[in-house]
Amino acid sequence: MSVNPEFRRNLWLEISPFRLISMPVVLGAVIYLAYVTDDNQMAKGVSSVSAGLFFLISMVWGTKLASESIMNEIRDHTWDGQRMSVITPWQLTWGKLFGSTVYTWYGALICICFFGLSATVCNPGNILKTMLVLMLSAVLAHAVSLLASLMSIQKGRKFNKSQTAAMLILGIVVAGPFMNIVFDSGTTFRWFSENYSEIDFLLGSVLAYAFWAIAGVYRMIRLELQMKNGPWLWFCFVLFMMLYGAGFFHGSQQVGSYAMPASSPAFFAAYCISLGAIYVMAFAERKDLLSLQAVVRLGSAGNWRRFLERAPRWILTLPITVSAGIAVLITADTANSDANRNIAFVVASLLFMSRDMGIMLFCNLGKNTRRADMLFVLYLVLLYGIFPAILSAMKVDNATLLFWPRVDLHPVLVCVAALLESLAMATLVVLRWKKRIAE
Amino acid sequence: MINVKNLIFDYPGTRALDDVSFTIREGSITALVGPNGAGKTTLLRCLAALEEPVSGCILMNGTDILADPRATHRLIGYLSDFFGLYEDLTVRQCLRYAAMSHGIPDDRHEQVIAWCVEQLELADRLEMKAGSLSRGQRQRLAIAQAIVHEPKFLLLDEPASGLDPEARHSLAVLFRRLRDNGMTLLVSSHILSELEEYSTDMLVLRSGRIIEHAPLAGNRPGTFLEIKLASPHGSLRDVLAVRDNVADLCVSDDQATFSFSIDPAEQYRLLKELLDRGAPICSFSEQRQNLQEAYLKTVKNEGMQGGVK
Repeated sequence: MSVNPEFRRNLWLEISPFRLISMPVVLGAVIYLAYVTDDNQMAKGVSSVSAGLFFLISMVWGTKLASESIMNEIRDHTWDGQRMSVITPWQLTWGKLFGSTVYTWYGALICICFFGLSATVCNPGNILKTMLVLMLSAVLAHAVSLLASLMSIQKGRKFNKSQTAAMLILGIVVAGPFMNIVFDSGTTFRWFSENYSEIDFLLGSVLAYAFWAIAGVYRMIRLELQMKNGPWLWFCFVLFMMLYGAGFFHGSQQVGSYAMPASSPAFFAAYCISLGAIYVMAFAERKDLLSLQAVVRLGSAGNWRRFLERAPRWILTLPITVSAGIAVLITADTANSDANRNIAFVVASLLFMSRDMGIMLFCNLGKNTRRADMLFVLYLVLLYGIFPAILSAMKVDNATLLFWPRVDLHPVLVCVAALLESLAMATLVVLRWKKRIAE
Repeated sequence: MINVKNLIFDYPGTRALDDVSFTIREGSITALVGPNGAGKTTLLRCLAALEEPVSGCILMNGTDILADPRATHRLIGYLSDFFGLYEDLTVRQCLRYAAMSHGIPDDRHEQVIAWCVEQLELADRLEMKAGSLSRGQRQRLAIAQAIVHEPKFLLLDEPASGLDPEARHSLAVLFRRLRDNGMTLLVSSHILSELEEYSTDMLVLRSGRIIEHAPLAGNRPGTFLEIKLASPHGSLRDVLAVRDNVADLCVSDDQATFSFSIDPAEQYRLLKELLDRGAPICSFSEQRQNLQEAYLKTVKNEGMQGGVK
């Protein structure tokens, strides 16, 4: 059987006899130090040090290598060669994911073996599950940072050190919480009215997230290889996230600080997650005039298959969000006097979202789009943070309905304010679009 | 054969390729020339299926590369102007990786590596790391990687930039050898004298448009003649303009250059007609038109016509 070319290339680069020897020597020395300082016991000292080393090697070092695996190809001008090869997207996905990190996996596996041998938990099944969660967390961190670098490539093919650091931090932030399993707090998770032990729930969750992250990497590599992607996997991911989030609120009475007694908090949570997905993709995807023009052209020509392949995912998520909003309203208890507040919140939040997308498009349709996303963030901070804070400080709290979907004010007022802002932004976008097209 | 129809490619605020159409015949070496920013690199990247144009069609041996870019990558070898190598791999490993990534079975790797290093004269560098090679050797290794799967079409973007004259000459020899082996080459370069050594056709791109695509003088069925008069005479223009076998005519009152039949009898008849009309001919000679002249003439004609050919 032929070995994955990308994996083999990484083996040539990453593995050498010297490196194979040096890793266990260094790790062995550190772990032995923990062993002798813990009264020559394979106990908590060794376990903590092994877990710490595992975190450093797999989560920090490995995630850095994974995020740089594509960036280095771009920087060294070798990426076009890979794009012109006949390596399949799946081969490239796992070749990059496990190839670029192969040496850190070598060290991480040594650490996790010591962790398993020194674990203080009595149940061997739980030890194995903990080791599995740790390894899957590392895979998740690597896949997320690789995915972020691939998405960054789609937007522009230049990188700087701050981007590398951001991708490293993103990977650790996403996967880091699963690492808490080593502390084994014994918490139980309530999900869709069922109780799950911490270890089982985290294992299931990290497995699912690692799957989605790897699927995301695979799809992005397909795009890099000039293959077309339909939006179906994205839809499935958004629905999964909505379901996952809703599970925590199933049967509960409120979502965060928002008490929504007139509707199901589970539906409300799912709606908020789909709304969040729009914002995430609005940042992550290309929004330049050319790509938007191409999408508009495909739509105008009625080429719906190509339209679905090229259309920004934030646009395609809109119907899901609107449907989730409708579901929130349908499931509301109409006999409850708060039902109107639910309607106002859903309608106003959709209108505010369309205003925000308008701002994002307005920034990106300008002539200089280099800092368009930063400008968008700045506007969001002003609209959702600074301006409402100023109004609150001036004791005109009610005026914050211009910036927030306030559920405690008159529903009509809340919706009208959001509608006017949304219409104003839409007009500005249309005018700028026409101007740019005419140029 | 490469067949490009109505290709349009846009960068933000700029149309890089504007309704480009041409056909490259099999077994040719086409020089892709044009000023900086003409769209040469963009055109090559579109042909290599690395960029997706706004519209248009590119057929390689009848396969639509936009419909199935991956399938056409088997047919194409591409060397970018800013190519990269895996600096820490040896030449052998670089070529083995290129062979693996192009789907060549393991048992044929040694054979194709041997063929590549023989073609590119790298046999004595096989165990050296790519990072330790000289500029010329790096260039040759990059070309070796591009041809490891013996593609039908080889696209090269500024392959000789930074090379010394000797390395350029050996590159020209290599390109001719590859063409003789059945490859079709499209080579972009600023160095026209270098292209002249091996090119059979010239494709001139300016401001994203094709302004000339023709075989070079040495590859045409006719020859290139130059006539000089001792003093201006109107008959020169009158006689040459109406003859069917005169092409690429560039004429003033006292001088003309044009493509004409290689047949001496035909040339004699033309000379006699001009003398009979009283043209004071002081020189009637066959001229070897080089690529530089052909290019400058094309650009000049295009400027005079103010339009697209």
